[in-house]
Amino acid sequence: MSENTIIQQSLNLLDLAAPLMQTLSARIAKLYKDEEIKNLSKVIITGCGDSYVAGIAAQKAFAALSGLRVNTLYTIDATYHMTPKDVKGSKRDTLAVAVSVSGNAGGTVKAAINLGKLGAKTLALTENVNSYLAKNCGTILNLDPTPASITPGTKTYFVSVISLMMLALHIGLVNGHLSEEKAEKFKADVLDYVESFKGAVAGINDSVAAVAKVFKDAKHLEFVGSGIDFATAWFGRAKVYEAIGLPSTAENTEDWAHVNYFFRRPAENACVVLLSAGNPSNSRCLEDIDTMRIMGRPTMIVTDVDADYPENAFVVKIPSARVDYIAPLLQIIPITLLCGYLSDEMGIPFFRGGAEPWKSAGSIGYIEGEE
Amino acid sequence: MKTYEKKVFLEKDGILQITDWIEECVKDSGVKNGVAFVNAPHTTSGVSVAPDMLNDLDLKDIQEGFSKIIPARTTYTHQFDNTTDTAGHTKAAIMNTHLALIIEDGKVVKGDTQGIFFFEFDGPRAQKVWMAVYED
Amino acid sequence: MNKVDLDNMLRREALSLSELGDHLLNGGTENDGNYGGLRLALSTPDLCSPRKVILTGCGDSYCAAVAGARAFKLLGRGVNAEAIPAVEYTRSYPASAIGTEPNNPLVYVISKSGGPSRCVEAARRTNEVNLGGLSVAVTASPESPLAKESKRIIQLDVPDLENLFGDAIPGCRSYYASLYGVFSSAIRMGEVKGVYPMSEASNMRKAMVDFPAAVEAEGERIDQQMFELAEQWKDFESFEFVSDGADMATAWFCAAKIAEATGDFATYENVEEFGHINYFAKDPAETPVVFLANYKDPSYARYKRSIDAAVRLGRPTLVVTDAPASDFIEGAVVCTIPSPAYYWQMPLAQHVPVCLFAGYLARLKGVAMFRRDLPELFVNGNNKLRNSQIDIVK
Repeated sequence: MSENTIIQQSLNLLDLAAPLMQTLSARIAKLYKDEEIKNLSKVIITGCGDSYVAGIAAQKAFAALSGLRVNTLYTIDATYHMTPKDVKGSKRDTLAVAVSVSGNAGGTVKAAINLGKLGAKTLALTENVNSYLAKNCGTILNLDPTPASITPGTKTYFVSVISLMMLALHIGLVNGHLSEEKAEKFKADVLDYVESFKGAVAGINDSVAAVAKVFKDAKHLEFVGSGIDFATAWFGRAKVYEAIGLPSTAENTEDWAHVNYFFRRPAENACVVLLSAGNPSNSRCLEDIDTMRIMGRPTMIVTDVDADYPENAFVVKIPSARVDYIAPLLQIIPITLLCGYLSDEMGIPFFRGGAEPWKSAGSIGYIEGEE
Repeated sequence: MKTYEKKVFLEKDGILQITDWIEECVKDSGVKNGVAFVNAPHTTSGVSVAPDMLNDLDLKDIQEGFSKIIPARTTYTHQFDNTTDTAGHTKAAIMNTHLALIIEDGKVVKGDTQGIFFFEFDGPRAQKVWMAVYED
Repeated sequence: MNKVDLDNMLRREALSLSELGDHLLNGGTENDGNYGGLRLALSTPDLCSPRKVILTGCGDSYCAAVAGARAFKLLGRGVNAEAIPAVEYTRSYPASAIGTEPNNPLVYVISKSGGPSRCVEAARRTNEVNLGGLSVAVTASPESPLAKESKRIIQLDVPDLENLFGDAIPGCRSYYASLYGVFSSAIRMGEVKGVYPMSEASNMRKAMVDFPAAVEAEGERIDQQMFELAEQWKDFESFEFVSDGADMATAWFCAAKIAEATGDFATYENVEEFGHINYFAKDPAETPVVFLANYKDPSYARYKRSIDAAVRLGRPTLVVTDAPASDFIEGAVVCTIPSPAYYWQMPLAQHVPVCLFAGYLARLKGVAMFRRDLPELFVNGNNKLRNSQIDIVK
């Protein structure tokens, strides 16, 4: 078993869920009065990088659990392309959840400030109560700190997604959209999903380690998924850049066929396909997989669906979530494992190891000094 | 015959009193006795008579009256432009786009309180008023 | 190397957009934008009734949808407009949001050919779910499956250029025409709703032709610059395109043109996320990045920091912009283009420099566009665009 930190974090996620849900429940219950929650009509989630993807991943769950309209926005859109009507189109309130574990993502801070100015109640999801984000939001959901390490965000992403889900659960309970029984069922479904993964993770780990030995020769990775699977595709792309620095894409199952299909060196462009049971896009996804076979694309399929997959495809079978919107929580595990094993195989340090030119170029996503 | 043109720019439902301009043109023409024709060469404009002392707010009654009987609606058969344009065509047809005036002793014959107005039923538009003055 | 010897149809198309625009506006055909079907494709009630507009398509057509959504939001007074990738609209978009009132939402399905299964699926789903929305095909092919499936057609008349080089041509004129079609409809919506007078609507229509004309007026300079850049960048195999908001349409489109023209890897990202993700590309000196910076977009200020960082990382950097070149760090190649009269019309010609670049790149690499040099591998139909299974999700 690799000692690579992203692999370790991935495998440790499974022990996080239960205590985390309990801690979050208690903290979230203290954030707002019931009347404030009942007056919400809309939720905006925003963040940069993984935090944005966490919003996408949790969006369907958030809407289903809270009964509210939910939109996830890029921070740049939340900052520069919103009108007051976009944010607060009615007399009822809009909750803007700004996700940044560090609390210092400049784009997220600006977005939160702008959304607040346009009338939203702003909530910071962060580990750092003294951060710029925390100071510029009306309320803070304080997350427990993650030990510092230079690891492509895995635990932080998981925590963000689960926090959003638990927030939605509380909102749904308070505003009457969810009964206690349904809320308990949701929590049970999440924990059952986690348990099923515990039973499967050793096999997943071995499968992915084998994939990495083939994918290590790729020059680019493409993540393909639609609907509920798209968030994990997007997440995967970001992790690849962070973990091994290969230019990568995330594309939906139709546009992959229109555009990415034409990349001329198929053997150098490995594909990772996300295909969840019950996803209405699956017929198109299976067509893409066949196209990948024809084109000779190295292909890994992360799925809980039994089907006639091409023999040369690497099928990483994962457990099913009882409800589709829970799947994004752990669907990431094969992806993060892959990134970890590729980093080992290719000898590339995460985030380029703080070497030049990144060291001198400095960070452009995060607030520095007095900016 | 002498002809005159005045360029006007009016906002939507704009109204412009042109009585003074007409009288100046008549004076300029030198016609002592005759007729003058005033014409708005457009399909969303009209020329008519209203009390000359009405202020801008009062004059709006006329436009609002027209809009009540000829509203801008989406179901007009003529769809080429927009709803206010189509309504404007109908209003112009009803009000009419020209006026005939009697000239006596070098002046326009009109009632004491009558003023002559140009009406724009769509807009904003740059329009024109034409006038022709004939000697008896 | 003489650039005349590297001429290609992508270049020719990129420099022909104003002529196409003039044809679309004034061509005198029954479908033109001034007096014909393009103007009247949707009636006043069609345009006034919907509370929501959805624009969808695949590939380049989805890019037109992204650009079009911004136009509808700005011009349509109160209408909620959204661009959704075709497969997301047909398979994941909630059925409860389609057709709960007659002819709502108004759904533009964009496809010049009208052939892709996903587009047919989009129109069909719009018609069949609940009471049905109003499906509008934006297409050059009135007899296509999409057109036949749709309740209304915005028919684009896109004459082909004579193919002087036998190229399989990455769509550039078709993209402009699709943008023209959706922008025309947005302008028309504002016009019939009385958001602005007819004179202003006419100005906007004319501006859609004037903008590419202004770019073409500087075509010689831009063409030379892109040729020289292609010579410098011809050994790169991976390209990134960065923009934000509705101008992501151009970033995405440009990535698609590279994929089609040369088959090199290309991806797109917004200018904020670039700093969180693409920043970490492991071979900066071999991973060029192109920023598409719209000077009048409210987010313009964010570009400078990302461009500075890209240059400091040693990324070969091109900035396509209507901002002054002096705004950017030394080391970035800046290709200035004129500003459009209306900033939301930027996508109409913002892609011209990259199209010129992509065409020259293909020639310099000695590759055929659309992989015509690899016919055994890239067999027509492999990607199942026109024979993908159609499922109507209700």
